[in-house]
Amino acid sequence: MSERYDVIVVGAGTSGLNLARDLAAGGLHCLVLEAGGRYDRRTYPRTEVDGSAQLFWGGGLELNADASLAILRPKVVGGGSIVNQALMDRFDDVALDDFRAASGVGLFTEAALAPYYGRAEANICLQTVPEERRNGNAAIFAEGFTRNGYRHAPLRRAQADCRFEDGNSCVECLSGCRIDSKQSTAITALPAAERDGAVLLADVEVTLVAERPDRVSVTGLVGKPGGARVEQTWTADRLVLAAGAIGNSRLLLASGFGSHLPALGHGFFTHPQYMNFGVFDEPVRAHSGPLQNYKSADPGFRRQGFKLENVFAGPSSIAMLMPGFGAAHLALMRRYDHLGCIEVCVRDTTPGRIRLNRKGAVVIDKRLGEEELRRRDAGAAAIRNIFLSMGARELVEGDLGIGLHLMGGCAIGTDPARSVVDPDFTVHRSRRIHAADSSVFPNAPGINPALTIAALSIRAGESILAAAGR
Amino acid sequence: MPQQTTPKLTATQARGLLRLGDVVIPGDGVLPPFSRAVAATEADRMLPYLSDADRSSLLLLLAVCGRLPRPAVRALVALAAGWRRTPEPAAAGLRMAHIGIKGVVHSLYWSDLNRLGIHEAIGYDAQVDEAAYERSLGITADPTTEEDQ
Ligand SMILES: Cc1cc2nc3c(=O)[nH]c(=O)nc-3n(C[C@H](O)[C@H](O)[C@H](O)COP(=O)(O)OP(=O)(O)OC[C@H]3O[C@@H](n4cnc5c(N)ncnc54)[C@H](O)[C@@H]3O)c2cc1C
Repeated sequence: MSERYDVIVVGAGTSGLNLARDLAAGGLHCLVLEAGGRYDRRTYPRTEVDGSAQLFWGGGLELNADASLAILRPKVVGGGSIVNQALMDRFDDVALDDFRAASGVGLFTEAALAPYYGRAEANICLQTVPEERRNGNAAIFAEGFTRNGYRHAPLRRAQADCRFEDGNSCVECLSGCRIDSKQSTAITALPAAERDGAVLLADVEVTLVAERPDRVSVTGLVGKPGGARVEQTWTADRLVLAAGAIGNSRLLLASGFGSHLPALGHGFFTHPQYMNFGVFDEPVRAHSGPLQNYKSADPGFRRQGFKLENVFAGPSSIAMLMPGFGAAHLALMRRYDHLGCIEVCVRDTTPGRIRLNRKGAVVIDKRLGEEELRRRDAGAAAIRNIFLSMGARELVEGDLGIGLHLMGGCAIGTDPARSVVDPDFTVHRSRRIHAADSSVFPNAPGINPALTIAALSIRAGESILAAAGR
Repeated sequence: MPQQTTPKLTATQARGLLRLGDVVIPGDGVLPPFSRAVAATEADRMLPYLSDADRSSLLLLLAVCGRLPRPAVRALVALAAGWRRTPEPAAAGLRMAHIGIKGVVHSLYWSDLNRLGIHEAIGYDAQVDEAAYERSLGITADPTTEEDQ
């Protein structure tokens, strides 16, 4: 039997490593188990095909049950903070009021969360994406917004120094930042956690968790993809589930918690995103320099339930999103550097459900309701206005909905019939199992989630340390 | 615990991948067709990371394409791409095949693994100057290591 820990954290992503840092700093002997591999700036995959395969579950994409959404679920030490765009937004009153109404949790006010947002922000370097470095896509976005009377705002990103003067392009860092500018938890929280004695084991997929009166036990398969995997069990006083929305639900369901947690796996949201393109006569070079500069800040859009961002991706991803195949598709790809691209991100209202099939594999029941389709179409209409006002020769609507902001399944709340985690971030009817990651979101905020996940994790760290008598 | 073996494409599956790839990316005057840009063995780099269910479905699809004549492969790709014309829930199955086909073919081809100028042909020149970053940290490149690589 291996060493006993004070706490085991499952999942070394945005939440898991923020918690590991604070719990280790608070004196807890902490073990972090992560299914993905551990990379650094020198070892991140160099090609899109390897980046997708090696840094995401399912070798790149997972699909919901009716294949209407491609779900991108990070699997790497650092989790989403390695592969995301690191845009850092606080929630507005609309999102917080809806969280509070759905959960009954008083923490969801600007004032109550402010100190935790402040600490989350202090842990990383934050910069407004420099406007003087913007590419043609950002220029189209900004000018198109102005011409149509829409309001936009600059984006704030967790980055230290992207060294754009060296000709760097952030699109390359979607498979991990090779100059340690992006403020992933792997370079911010993890070194601090390890300095305080936390132990991280990568390539460990946790398969089962159990709570006993005096301990928790965690069983996992140790080994890299394609190689032999060996089962191992660890024990601790406490368990933090930080495996993300799908990972936490999957683990609790597989471990039999569904029988006494009726809300487990319910209330799953993704902020479905659709990338739409305008083909321009002049080169746009949407891939060069900062990948994104602006977001919509239009109260009308917020009311209608969508937001727009200027965004782009590498050739493989854009080819995936372009409709069709054969010569027509290739002709569009030949115009890759003439493409403007804006994404509509829908604030989804129809809750999905995460469940397991008979073989124990995850099934994601997530449909877009009439309301989401209306929101998507309203966003697409605004994008058409923007591109046409800027002289696009042709408009192309992306083929595929994407789910990047995976949220819910273990909602926080006061009512055990409708939630999984209590206001102190402890699983209902448990004394030793906690969660504060994206799985605890009670609905879709319509705002980038990462900063709030970090803030909630910092707040949860206080509760867990108090429960542990520290 | 059973030893896992690293999955690889069989010859039939490899032929299927190249046929499928050429339908999706037939090439033009500048860009090569899929089968001239990608060696089928390059798909092996993705296989260990797929879920068991996805890998089985993909290998089955490739094996089928390896046995079908080219026009039939083309018809299959067109059927999957035309999911919008099919009522649900059948459309969901077609979407799944469509996404699976595109995922494999496009990620292998557009990664330009063999540096055939595919990125140049579409104007993709994104880079990160790691050497400049290292110089800024005071790390100097070791010429012997660079030569070895
Ligand atoms: C491409 C992309 C772009 C994004 N851009 C932004 C953005 O700009 N701004 C923003 O706010 N958000 C963004 N997001 C979303 C954001 O990254 C996530 O919401 C956030 O990282 C979720 O944090 P988390 O801690 O809940 O999960 P994650 O950060 O995903 O971490 C969960 C970790 O748990 C591990 N895990 C899961 N199951 C197991 C298991 N059984 N055993 C062991 N380990 C397990 C996973 O491998 C993963 O590493 C983006 C996401 C993606 C994919």
